[in-house]
Amino acid sequence: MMKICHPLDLCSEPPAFVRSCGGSSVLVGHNTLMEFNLSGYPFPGWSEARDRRTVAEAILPALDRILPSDEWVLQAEVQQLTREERMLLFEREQLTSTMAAREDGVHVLLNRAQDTCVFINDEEHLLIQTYHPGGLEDLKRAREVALADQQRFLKHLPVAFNKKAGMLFSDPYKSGEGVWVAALVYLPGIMQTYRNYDLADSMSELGILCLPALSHTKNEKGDMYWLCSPTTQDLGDDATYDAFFRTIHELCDREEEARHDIMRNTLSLHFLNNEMDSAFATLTKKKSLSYRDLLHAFSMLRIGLAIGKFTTDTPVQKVHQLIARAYTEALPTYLQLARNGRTRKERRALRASIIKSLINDELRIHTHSIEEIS
Amino acid sequence: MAEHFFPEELSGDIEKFIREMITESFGQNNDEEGENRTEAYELTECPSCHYKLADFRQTGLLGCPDCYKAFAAEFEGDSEENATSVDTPDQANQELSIAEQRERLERMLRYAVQRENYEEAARLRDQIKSLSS
Ligand SMILES: [Zn+2]
Repeated sequence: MMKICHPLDLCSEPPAFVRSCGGSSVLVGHNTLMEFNLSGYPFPGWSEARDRRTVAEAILPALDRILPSDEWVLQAEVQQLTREERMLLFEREQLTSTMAAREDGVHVLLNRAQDTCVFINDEEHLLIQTYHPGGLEDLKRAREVALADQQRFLKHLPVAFNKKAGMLFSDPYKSGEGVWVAALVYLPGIMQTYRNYDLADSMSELGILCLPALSHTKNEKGDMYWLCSPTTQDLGDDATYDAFFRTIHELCDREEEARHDIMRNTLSLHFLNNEMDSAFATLTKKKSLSYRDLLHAFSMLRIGLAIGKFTTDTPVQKVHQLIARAYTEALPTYLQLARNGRTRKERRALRASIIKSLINDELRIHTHSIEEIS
Repeated sequence: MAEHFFPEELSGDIEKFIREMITESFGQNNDEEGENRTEAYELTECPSCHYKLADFRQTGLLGCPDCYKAFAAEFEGDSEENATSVDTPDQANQELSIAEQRERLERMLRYAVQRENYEEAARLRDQIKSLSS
């Protein structure tokens, strides 16, 4: 049953959501999340190992029937993974912090394309998370697909459900439809134009949870965000989703505007130009590079590539691929396991040298002055 | 500066004062609610998973699917509170039970202290006291 490739083997490819980032569009993709609990068992946060094992034994065969199991490249009980392997998966957003810390009966499954993760006994008994690249129309369709998958599971498993609340969760405010979509948005324009704008704050007023992508501490802020749809109070509550889609649509428009404004406004273009120059120096000259600084500098690099500040002979698709790979190869635990970076200092030096050779040798990026781009 | 407005009790240890005030009223609140409770209200522990209502109040999380039934009254309470919140304060006061009035005043008291409006806090505290007597 257990199929464990070494989690390090997964690192030859970035997770799917990283592969599609770096494009110049705003809504780069989205996750669908389908969650449920089995009736008759305590929720994972209040359960004992025995209950969690029973739940996993019930879910795994059903999963086998519904999702083809030969697709899984990693199927492991979290207990079987070392602390570093758990960290590695966590940094790649392929394991949650709750799961990394919990003891037995907790399972993680990951498919070959690395676009589907299955978590058993995370916050709820089952969470299936699937990434799809694409825009707003795909986002709407993805939700329908997730709802259809949910129906297939309902036929095979005794799912905890009541007519009044819908799907039942450990947090009663989550109860309802049991399907969420999380849009992955790329907002360099807004982040550059409104430096003090707190996206998470304004989204939370609309009931939308906003989490920075590819960052694991409060200080590591890039320009990619996950925006998670609000919980629907009733089954078939389309109004909530319509409002969510409208917000995403508006945010995309604002981002496009912000990008244009930067180019029209001489002052902000000057300011941005300086930032891009200093980011380029960070990427090509520094002997030590923190992950946080990398996120910022990469953000500048991507804007620069989009507006012609930076150019390269490498085809666009290849540029995106290489940048995506660099994101994941610069993660702390990857550097520790794959490159033997034992201390933070060693890891920062390794990160700096990987990025330097990416920019200079692989991408061969040229920079241009402000006069050349405006 | 604001210290001029500190009533005596508040100037010492505001936190402690608030905590005592709240513990005191919560204790009484529970007793009064107890008399009016329906059967569902009497469940303080889920019969299936033994998760405690007190833990739910603290963490906001439930223990198992059956907790929804066991603590149903807890959720229904929410909507009742919302229904009264649209009334003007005076109308609402007439219709609210003493326990509910106290809860409302305590919320206002906490808010007043957060804003460092100690005059208002002292006034609210007196109101809370007069409810208890
Ligand atoms: Zn329970």
